[in-house]
Amino acid sequence: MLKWERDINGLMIIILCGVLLSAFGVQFIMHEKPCPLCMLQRIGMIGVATGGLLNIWYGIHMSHYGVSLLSALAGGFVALRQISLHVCPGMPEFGMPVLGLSLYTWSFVVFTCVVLGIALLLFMYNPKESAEPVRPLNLWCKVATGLLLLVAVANVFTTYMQCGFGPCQD
Amino acid sequence: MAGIFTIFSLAIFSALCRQRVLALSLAIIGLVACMLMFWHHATDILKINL
Repeated sequence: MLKWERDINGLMIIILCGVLLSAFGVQFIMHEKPCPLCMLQRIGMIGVATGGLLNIWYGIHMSHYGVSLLSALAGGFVALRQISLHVCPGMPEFGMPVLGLSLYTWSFVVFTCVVLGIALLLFMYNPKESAEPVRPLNLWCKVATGLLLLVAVANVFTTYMQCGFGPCQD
Repeated sequence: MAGIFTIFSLAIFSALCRQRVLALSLAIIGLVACMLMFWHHATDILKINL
């Protein structure tokens, strides 16, 4: 794997963790509990980041990008569904808007950017050079790995505290 | 819902433990569970017909 491919995957993980941490900020500072659809979008983001993490640790493989793309499609679909619930004039928005857009709309923007970004990376994919992982991992990738694990485990605890292991009530 | 987050946490942990195939499988299982949960919420709680 080329170093810049590894670093771009690390950057993608750090950006997604930043988005998830800001969602935590809204949840705990603004005291807005996430709805079930919001949690499914969080799962989509963690899925995208998991594909990136596999790329960092094991080299670029189509199956890793497949996990990221499927997660982005699933999360984007959930976000689009939530947008469609509130899109009619007169319907109240869910949650606090950021820069004029609701959080679920930003989530759809993030998933769209992920799909476009992965499409660009696939254009530059070279099977001979990309399949082998670059070792040792640099600080950038170690931070991305630790942050992703931390955010995923934090989501397990906060979701368990809110609605247990089963489905959340709307 | 916390169960799906747990599956993804386990996928990340297995990736760190050099279990690539297990990590990939868990990620795919998590995605399928995510879509099933979406189906459950879309049909039962939101009371719509898909």
